[in-house]
Amino acid sequence: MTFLTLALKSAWHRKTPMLLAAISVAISVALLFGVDTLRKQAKENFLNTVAQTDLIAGPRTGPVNLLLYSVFHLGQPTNNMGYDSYQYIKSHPQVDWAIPLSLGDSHRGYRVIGTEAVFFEHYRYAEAHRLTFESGQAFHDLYEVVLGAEVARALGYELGDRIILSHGVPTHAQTHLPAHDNKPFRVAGILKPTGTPLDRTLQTSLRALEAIHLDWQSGRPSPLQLSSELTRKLAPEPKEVTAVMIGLTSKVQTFRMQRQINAYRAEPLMAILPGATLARFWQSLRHIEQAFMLLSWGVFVAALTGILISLLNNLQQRRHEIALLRAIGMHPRGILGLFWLDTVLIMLAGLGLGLFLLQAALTLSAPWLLDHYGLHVQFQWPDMAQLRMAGIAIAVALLASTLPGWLAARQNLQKGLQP
Amino acid sequence: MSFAFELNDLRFGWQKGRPDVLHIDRLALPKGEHLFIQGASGSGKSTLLNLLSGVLLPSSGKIYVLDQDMQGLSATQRDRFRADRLGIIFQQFNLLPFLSPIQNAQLPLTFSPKRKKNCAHPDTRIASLLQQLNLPKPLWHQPASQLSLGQQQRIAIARALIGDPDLIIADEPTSALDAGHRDRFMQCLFDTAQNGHTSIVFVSHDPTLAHYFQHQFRLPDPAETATGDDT
Repeated sequence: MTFLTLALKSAWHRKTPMLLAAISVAISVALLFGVDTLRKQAKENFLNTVAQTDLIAGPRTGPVNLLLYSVFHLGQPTNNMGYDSYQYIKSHPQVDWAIPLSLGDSHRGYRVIGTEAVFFEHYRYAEAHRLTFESGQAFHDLYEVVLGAEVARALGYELGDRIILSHGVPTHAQTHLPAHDNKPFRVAGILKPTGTPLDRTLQTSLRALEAIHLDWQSGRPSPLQLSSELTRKLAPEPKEVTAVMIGLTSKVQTFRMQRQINAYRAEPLMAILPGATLARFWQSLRHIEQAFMLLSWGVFVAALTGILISLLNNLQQRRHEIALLRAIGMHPRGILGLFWLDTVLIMLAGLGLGLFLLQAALTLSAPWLLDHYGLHVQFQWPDMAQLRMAGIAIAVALLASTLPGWLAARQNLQKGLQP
Repeated sequence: MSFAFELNDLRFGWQKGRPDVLHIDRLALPKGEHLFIQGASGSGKSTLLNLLSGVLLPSSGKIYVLDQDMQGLSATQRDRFRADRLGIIFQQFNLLPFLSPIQNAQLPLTFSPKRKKNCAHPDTRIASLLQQLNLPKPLWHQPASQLSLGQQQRIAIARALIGDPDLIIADEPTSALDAGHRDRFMQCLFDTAQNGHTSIVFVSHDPTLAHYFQHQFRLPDPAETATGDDT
């Protein structure tokens, strides 16, 4: 029998306390890697959403605010900008494409984006992916709407279904929204999943949004009701948009274009660089991020203390075993080795178990995260940074277990061969 | 004359300035012979055995075990010496509970290449030892924790004797056994030791066991003045 088989058999003999220690390690590993994974995937998610957009223009407000409500649909726009300003931007020689976004209506909790055909042509996500249709096509008729993948899936809609849009966006205070029930929309297309907040939106034309609000006054249906056919004939020009996503002909022009929009005379506008603004946003969340990581390490230290306590308890329990091994010639270093092996076993089992736990937790919470935060989260195998964290954790645990190991080897020398 | 061990003016105290726990003027055991050491609790029995097995070193005086000057060896060398040449039997907890009798008996071979060399056919040797020790065959592969105390103590003999050590040190190995098991244990110990001409140092507080041994030594009571007498 080798030292290793002996040590493994000994560990197996004490499997219950070892397993308990491994479970406490697993919980902290799951937490540690979970926070890290969420953090990384949230950043990736957000960055994917603004891929290839050089500038976002909107009415004057906080840059982070504009970014969050325009593309991530977090929070409410306070102001709109004029449609003529959008046309000014669109026709600017440096501008390759400009996608107007008009927010404010919803359908059963999902936001409706008013936009134009340019949206399907130029919107890019995750590096440079174009939008593609699962079925159907972009809206052509006035009362047509395109569904994000998640909307179609969750509500079970198919092409040709008729749906009613509601005025406003649901908040907690207000669950029932007035409906545009005299002007139903037809589902013209369903997009493939993009892994961005877009999956949870409906898209229709700016003109359609203008049309359904034609017989409305200050947020309420007016007594004068217009039929959907009549409004179609009136075919109003859009007057306002919430924000504009801009792609430039040359990236070099970005700052110049930003200055020009900021200095636009006809109305106060602002333009932001999505990447830089996103970085500012994360910067402002840095302390929260650090607090979470600190908390996770704290939990890990608690788990480590648990290991230490269980090893110290073992010391008493294993007194006879150690005396016997010393009597038949095991070196004190061998005793230390036994404790180290125990620790490595606990840590490895804890890591494996922790990854399993994390996967289970992420799988279970993914729909919830998607629903509430528009975050696409999935389990990933540990990356280099996380492997390094695991390495550090094992090293620290080994260091901690040196104490009971050393005590065991020493205690026995002091007391002599007395099991 | 070759000795299993030889002590000269041996003193041992845990701390300087405190009275010595042990003081023996001279004690020696010829190779192949057996010694019974009797002593009340607190008389320094365990200390003596720890000195003989090289776990402790004397404060002063000389100690030779199997003609080896123990004070001339480093701690690591003494560990090696113990693994190679001594067999130790405790009062109890002689076996790793999660190993079978066969695996327990094999243990010393794991830690001593010399004993492994001495034992060309471990399986047959262990089988014959276990047979000699009267351990029913069905128990040979069961975890030691399932055996009775008497059975465990007899397996300890096999564990101590595997690989032909030159000296067996036994620390009250029968004190937890009833009379029947005790006699069986003594019989087994002597029978198996006889084959390899192994010396035995046997410590006990029980004077009724003395008649098994050709040499006897009585450690003075801690109450009395600490002086030893020759065998």
